[in-house]
Amino acid sequence: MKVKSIRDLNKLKSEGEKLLRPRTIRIQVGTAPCALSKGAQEVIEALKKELQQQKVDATVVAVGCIGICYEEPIVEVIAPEKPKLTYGRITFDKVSSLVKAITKGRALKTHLLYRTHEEDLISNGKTFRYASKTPPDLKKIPSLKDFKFFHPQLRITLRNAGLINPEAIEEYCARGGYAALYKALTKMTPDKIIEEITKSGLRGRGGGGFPTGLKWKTCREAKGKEKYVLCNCSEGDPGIGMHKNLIASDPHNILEGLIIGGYAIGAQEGYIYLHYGNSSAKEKLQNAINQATAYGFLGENILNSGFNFSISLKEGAGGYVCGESTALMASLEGRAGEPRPKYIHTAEKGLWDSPTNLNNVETWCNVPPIILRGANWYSKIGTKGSKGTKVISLSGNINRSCLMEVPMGTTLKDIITHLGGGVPKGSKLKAIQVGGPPAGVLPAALVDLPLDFDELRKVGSLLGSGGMIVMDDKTCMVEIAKYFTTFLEEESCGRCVPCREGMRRMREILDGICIGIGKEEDLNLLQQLSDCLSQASLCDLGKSAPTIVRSTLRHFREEYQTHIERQVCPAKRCAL
Amino acid sequence: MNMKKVDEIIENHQAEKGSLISILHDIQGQEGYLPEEALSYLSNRLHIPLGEIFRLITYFDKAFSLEPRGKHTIKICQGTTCFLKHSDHALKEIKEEVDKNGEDKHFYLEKVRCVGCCNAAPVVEIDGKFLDKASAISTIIKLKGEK
Repeated sequence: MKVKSIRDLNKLKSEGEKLLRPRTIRIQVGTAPCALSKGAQEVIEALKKELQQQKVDATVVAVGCIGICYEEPIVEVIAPEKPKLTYGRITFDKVSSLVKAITKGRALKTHLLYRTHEEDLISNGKTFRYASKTPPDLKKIPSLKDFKFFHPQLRITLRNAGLINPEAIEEYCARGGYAALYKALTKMTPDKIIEEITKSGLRGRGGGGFPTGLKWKTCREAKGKEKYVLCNCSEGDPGIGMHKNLIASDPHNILEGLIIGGYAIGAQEGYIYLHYGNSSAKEKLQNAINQATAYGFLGENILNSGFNFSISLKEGAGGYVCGESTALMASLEGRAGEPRPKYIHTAEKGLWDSPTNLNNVETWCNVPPIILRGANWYSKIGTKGSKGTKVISLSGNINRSCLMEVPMGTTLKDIITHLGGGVPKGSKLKAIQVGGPPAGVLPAALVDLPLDFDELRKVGSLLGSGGMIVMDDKTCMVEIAKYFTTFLEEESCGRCVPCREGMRRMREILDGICIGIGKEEDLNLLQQLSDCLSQASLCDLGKSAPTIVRSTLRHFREEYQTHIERQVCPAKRCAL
Repeated sequence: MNMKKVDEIIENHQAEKGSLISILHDIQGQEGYLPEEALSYLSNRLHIPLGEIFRLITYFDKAFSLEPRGKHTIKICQGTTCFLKHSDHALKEIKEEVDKNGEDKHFYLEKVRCVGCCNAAPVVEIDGKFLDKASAISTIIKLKGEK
C-alpha cells in the first residue's frame, strides 16, 4: 500500500497502535549492545520457551535501547488495560518467575523499576495511553513520572528509543511518525521549512555546532542540477559506541528527517554513511528504507506531492577521519577517505562535485519534531545560543553507564550526579571528557559548566558528539594524553605533514614521560607541537588533535612535572 | 575464488555509483579476505588500475585484508571506558591465551574502539557475542578444543 493521504497515514497509525497495545500480552526486550552484553539474547530465548511451556498467549518483541543501560537486561510487559511495567536486571534465570507472575496477573516486584500509564509523544504533543487505573498492589511502585532517571531528561531524538520495534514502520507511525513529512510536503514550501529550521536555532550535533538552517539555505541556493543530502553515522570516537544504539533503535526517525531535508534543499538523492562493522544498525536501516519505499514515503511522487527522493545506505571501511565531511564524501565515492582543503565548500561542490548537505544523525533526528511542533516550541528549550537537547552517552568511572537526552544548559554536575549516580564509592571525580578526543578534558573544578556550544568553547573544550567520559582520581592524565594521542596517530590519514609527523613526535614524547625518561623541556616542545598542528594541519582531525595534550597541560601540569622531576605517577598507572 | 562469484557481486552493485568499497566488502565477506586473482579480475572489468584498488585496501586495512584471517574473530575493545577499566590487561591475557602452543590461524585478533556496551567494560567480542575477560578466555579454550 502506498500512503497518499492523511487517511492512509492514520490507517497505518492505528495498525501500529494495535501492535503497541495488543489484545494479548506484549513483552519487550531491549537488544542494543548494552543489553546483549548482559545476556538479552538468552533472555528472549528463555522467555519464548517459558511462555510456551506455561501456555501464555504473548508476543516477544526485540526493541532498542531505552537508556537505562545499568539495569540491563530490561524487559517491559504490556498487558491489556494495565499500566506498562518496566523491569530491570531480568537475567535468563529470572524469566521463569517473571512468566509465573504474568500468568497470575501480578508484578515481579523485586525487579520492577516503574509503571507507565501514559507516555508523552514529543513528536506531536499528544499522549500515548496504556491504562488509566492503577491496580492496588502497584500503588507503591513509582510511576514513570516519579522515576528519577527521566526527571532531568527531555527525549526528542530518543523519543521512541527502546519503546518501539525498530523493524515496524506502523509502530513508528503510531507515535506520530511521518506526520511531519506529511505536513512538510503538503502544507509547506521548501523555503518555509528552511525558515522554520533557522528560527528553531538548531545547530549541528556532530561537534561543530554550525547553524543547520544556514547550512541548508547555502546548499539550496548553490547552483547544480543534482544535489545530495547526507547523514553522517560515522562517529568513530572511542567511547561513543552507545550513541550508535540510537540508530538501531529508531531508524525511521533518521529517514523522515533526511526526506524533509532533501525536499527543502532540492535534492533527489540521500545517502546514509554508516560506520563499518555495525551490522545490526545496517540491517535495521536497510529494512526501514525498504518499508518506507513500500509505503511510498520514498520513491516517486511521495505522498502525492510530486516530490521524488531515494535513500541509499553506504557502509564505510573504517577510519576515524571519515567522519570529516570531505573524507566522508571521498569514501562514499569509493575512494580512500582522505580530506581535501575546504576553500570550496561542500555545499557548493561536495559529493561527485555537486552541492551537498551533510548533517550528523542526531541533527536529522531533530528535524521531524521541529517541523510538526514548530520553531517556537523548539527554541524555548535550551539556552540562548544552544537550542534543544543533546544526546549524551555517559560512561567511564561512573556508577550508572547510560544513554540520555537532556536540555542544553544542563550542567555537567547534574549529568554526573543525578543521572550517572556519581563516581564509584571510594574515589573522587578528577576529570571529564565532554565530547570525544577533540574536546580534550575538563578538570573537576569546572563541573558546574552547562552543556552549551559557546560556554564549552570558551574554556577550550567542545560539546562534540556527546560521548561523555568520567574519570576518577585513579586516572593518570599523562597516560590519558598518551592514549588519545596514540589513537589519533593511528587514525591520521598521513596526507599532511604536521599531522602525520607531529602526532608521532607528540606520542613519542608522551611515551617517554610515562616510562620516566621525560625531560623538563618536553613540556615546551609539546606546547610548540600543539600550536603547529592546530595552525598547519589540513583538516579538523589534525587541527583538533592537540586539544587533549593542551588541556591536560593546562589543567594537570603538576602531574606531568611529578612524572618528569620525581619519576612518580601519582595515580600509580604508569610503570615508572 | 571463482570469478563467476565476482561477476555476481559486480552485477549486484551495478546501479550503485562509486561501488568499489561495497564490492570489496562483499568479496571480503564471502571469502574472508581479498584474493589477488579476484582483484586483478576486478581491475580489468571495472577499468580501475590495480594500484588504485590496492591503495584503497591498504588504506582501509582494518576492514580489508589481502590474506585469509582466522576463523574466529576476537575483538578487544580499547575504547576510552574500557581503557580506564584496564582493557590493556585483557588484551595481554587474551593474546597470551591465543598464542599458547604456537600461533595458529584459528583466531583473528582485532583491537577495536568502542563496541557500544560501555556498561560492561572492559568488553571482548568473540564472533559477535559480547563477553567479559574471564568468559572470553574460557570461550577461546573451548574453541581451541573444537579444532
